[in-house]
Amino acid sequence: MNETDTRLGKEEVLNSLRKFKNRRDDLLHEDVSTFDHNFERFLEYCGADALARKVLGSIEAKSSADVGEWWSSATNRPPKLSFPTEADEELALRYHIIKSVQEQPAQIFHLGIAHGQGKHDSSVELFRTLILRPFVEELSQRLGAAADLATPEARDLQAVPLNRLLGHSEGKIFLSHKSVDKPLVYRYYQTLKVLGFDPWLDESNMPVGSNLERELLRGFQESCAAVFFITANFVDQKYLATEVDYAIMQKREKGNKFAIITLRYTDASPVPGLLTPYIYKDVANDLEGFHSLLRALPIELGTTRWKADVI
Amino acid sequence: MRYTCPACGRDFKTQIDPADLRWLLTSYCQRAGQEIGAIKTESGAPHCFWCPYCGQQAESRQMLTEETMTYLKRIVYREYMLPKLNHMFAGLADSFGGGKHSGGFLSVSIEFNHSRPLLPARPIHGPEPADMKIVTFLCCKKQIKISEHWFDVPLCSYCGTRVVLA
Repeated sequence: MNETDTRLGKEEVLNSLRKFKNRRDDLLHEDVSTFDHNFERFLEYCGADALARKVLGSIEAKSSADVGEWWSSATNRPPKLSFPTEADEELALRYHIIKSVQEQPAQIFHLGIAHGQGKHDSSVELFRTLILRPFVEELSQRLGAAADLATPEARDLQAVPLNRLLGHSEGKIFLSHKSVDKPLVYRYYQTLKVLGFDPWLDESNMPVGSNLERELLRGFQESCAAVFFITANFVDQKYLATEVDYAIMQKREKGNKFAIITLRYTDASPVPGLLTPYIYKDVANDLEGFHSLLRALPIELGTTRWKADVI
Repeated sequence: MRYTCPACGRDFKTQIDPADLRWLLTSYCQRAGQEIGAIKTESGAPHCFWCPYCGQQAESRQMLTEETMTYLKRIVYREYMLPKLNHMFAGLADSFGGGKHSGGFLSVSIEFNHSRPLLPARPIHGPEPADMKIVTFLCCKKQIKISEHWFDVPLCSYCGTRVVLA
């Protein structure tokens, strides 16, 4: 929660901004005949409003420039208007210049004359353009930033098109492997879980006593990808035959919404012929394998956000 | 830029897109009975939004707030109308030449004073407080801001696709 929130309520901040915008626009755009009145009202806002004080109060003391000297340069012939390059100092100097006009309104006319504008109206227009507008533009930005009213933890949501949402049971990732490779595949399983995916591994997903073939088929039907691990332990493709058939069947049925991904580890046998038309990647280690797997999946996770117990 | 739905009256904000702004300005100029060169929207069709609260579709200019309308009017006046007027009066002043025409018994004297006025200060839009939450539409990869207390957005505000907040 920022400082503004602790001092000012939301309504107070919104009222302050509304008042600022009204007075700023009156000051810049209303008829010159009402300028003096609008100028007074704007300065009253700058001097009394809590949000304006929060912004201007902190920079007011930063100007070391001599306002009297500035006016001398600005109203000499040829006139010279110079401002500090540092943003805070420039804002502070402009504010002091504007306040000085309250005490010596004739300065506006002198500024006009120095710039070849002999009429009062033109002098006011010049003062608005050269001095006031840059000041109120910068002040607008700073007030907007100071009025940061959004709740940080509720700031960012995603609106997902309905056709991109996964059904109740179609987002699993089927990890097909030989028993001897279980430790390797289990590392993939655990990492996918941590990331929020829903991996399918025979031993953890099959109820005790269930029919192996039926459960395998169900596993494929509920998946959006089948991952085949080809390691040095792979001798022939017989043990994979059923799972490869099921995967190809799902691919034909689901099209782009199903991926067949083969990760071939170093020193492993060639990728089985039936799998070569699909995505396969030679990988040297788990990290490479996991990277390839994530890239090939047809599903993605949402934007990053803070964990619930952190905020 | 803040918009107000003409159907449900709730406010939402979009990122300012130069193409949208151009379309709005063009429609303002046309409303004033003027032509503004060859500026057209990219598609030639009115620019529309779907309200993130009630799903009502309306042209973006129908959703403008009073504040934004005033801002646009000032922009059009300063950047388009006033230069046109200045140009017109400058031409008129030139056409009077020295101002005196005498060819017979009668002498007509016309005095025309035209000095090019300074343009008024450029208008400023905002400030808009960061008072809403951001919703990213994954269909268009565009963002919108809605009330923090609202949790049901039925349609993408840019393309009308049915969506759900996640």
